[in-house]
Amino acid sequence: MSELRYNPLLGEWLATATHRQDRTFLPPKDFCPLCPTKPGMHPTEVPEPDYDLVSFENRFPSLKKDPPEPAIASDDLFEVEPGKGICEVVLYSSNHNTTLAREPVERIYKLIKVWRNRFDELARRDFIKYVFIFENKGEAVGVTLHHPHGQIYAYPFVPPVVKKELRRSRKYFKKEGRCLMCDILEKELEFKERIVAENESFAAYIPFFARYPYETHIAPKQHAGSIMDFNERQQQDLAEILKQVLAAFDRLFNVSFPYMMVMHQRPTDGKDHEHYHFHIEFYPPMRTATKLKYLAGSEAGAGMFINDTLPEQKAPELRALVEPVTWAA
Amino acid sequence: MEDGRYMLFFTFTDDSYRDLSAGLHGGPADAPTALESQPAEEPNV
Repeated sequence: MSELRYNPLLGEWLATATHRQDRTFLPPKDFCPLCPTKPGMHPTEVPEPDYDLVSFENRFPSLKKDPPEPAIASDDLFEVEPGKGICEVVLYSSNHNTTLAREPVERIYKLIKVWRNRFDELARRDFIKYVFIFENKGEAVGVTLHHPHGQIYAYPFVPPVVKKELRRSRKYFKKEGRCLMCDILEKELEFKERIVAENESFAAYIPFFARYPYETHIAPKQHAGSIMDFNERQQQDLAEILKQVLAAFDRLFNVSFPYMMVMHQRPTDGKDHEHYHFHIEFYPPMRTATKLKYLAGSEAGAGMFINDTLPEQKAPELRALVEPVTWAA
Repeated sequence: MEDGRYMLFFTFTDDSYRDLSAGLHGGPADAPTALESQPAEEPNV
């Protein structure tokens, strides 16, 4: 059962998805449902002996393209809607033991092609208003399957965090006549100290307003609303800077660094969002080699994050670990 | 898939990639070629 319930206090939708309670939880490697199905072995989600990259509908989706009617009646105060949407799983590799950080830049470039394909197709569906591409990596952020994969949630509404960014960007554009994110990026590039990596098309930085010690944002230098706006060179540059940031994360504490990676793009609701600027945000929960940043009372209950570190001190740490990227000939 | 979900296999050649999902839905296993755009309808659903 999946349904959407509206929180009238916050003005936000949330999903209930009770069937997800029974989803596969940290299975042993031999029973990984995201590995290819090898002859004579346990059948998996993927009915092929090998694959490059795969995208498919989640077996335990939070939102479904044909959801059942809600089990409870909707009224003026307690609104409820069918949990309509699409949830996809994107498999980065058939190799169970790899991660995006360990993969060559060529695979990240392929993944960008897949993201573009999925954004483009999902955005064309009338009931989809926002395509959200993300990855949860590591048990510290709650992954239930270790096989390298990301996810895509195609929502029937613009989710609240993006809605807030849209509102702020629109207001700034009306007042200043410029894109808010373009100005933020310009200032970060000018200040330099919070920059982690940079190439012709993109910059990666720990923003002035970072909420996590190693929160890193990647944004295009040229204004763009979505991943569909990038030319070939920009797609290659995005692959390179992603590789550099991911590899630097792993070098920080010599561990496979956990993170949430989220992609903020323009909505797909047919409205004008020219003032909105594509960017990727990483929220790594580690604040030291042995300590995690938890979302506690102030963060979860009041919405005010407390960062125990300064971005000006953490960015140089990460920047020192960035290495050049080499493409295979 | 049997339960009505779609699964898209992406394979890459020199400068393009292909969505092999047609093979799962009765079409030829290595067609059609899908570069950057997809048809508006829902061929895989």
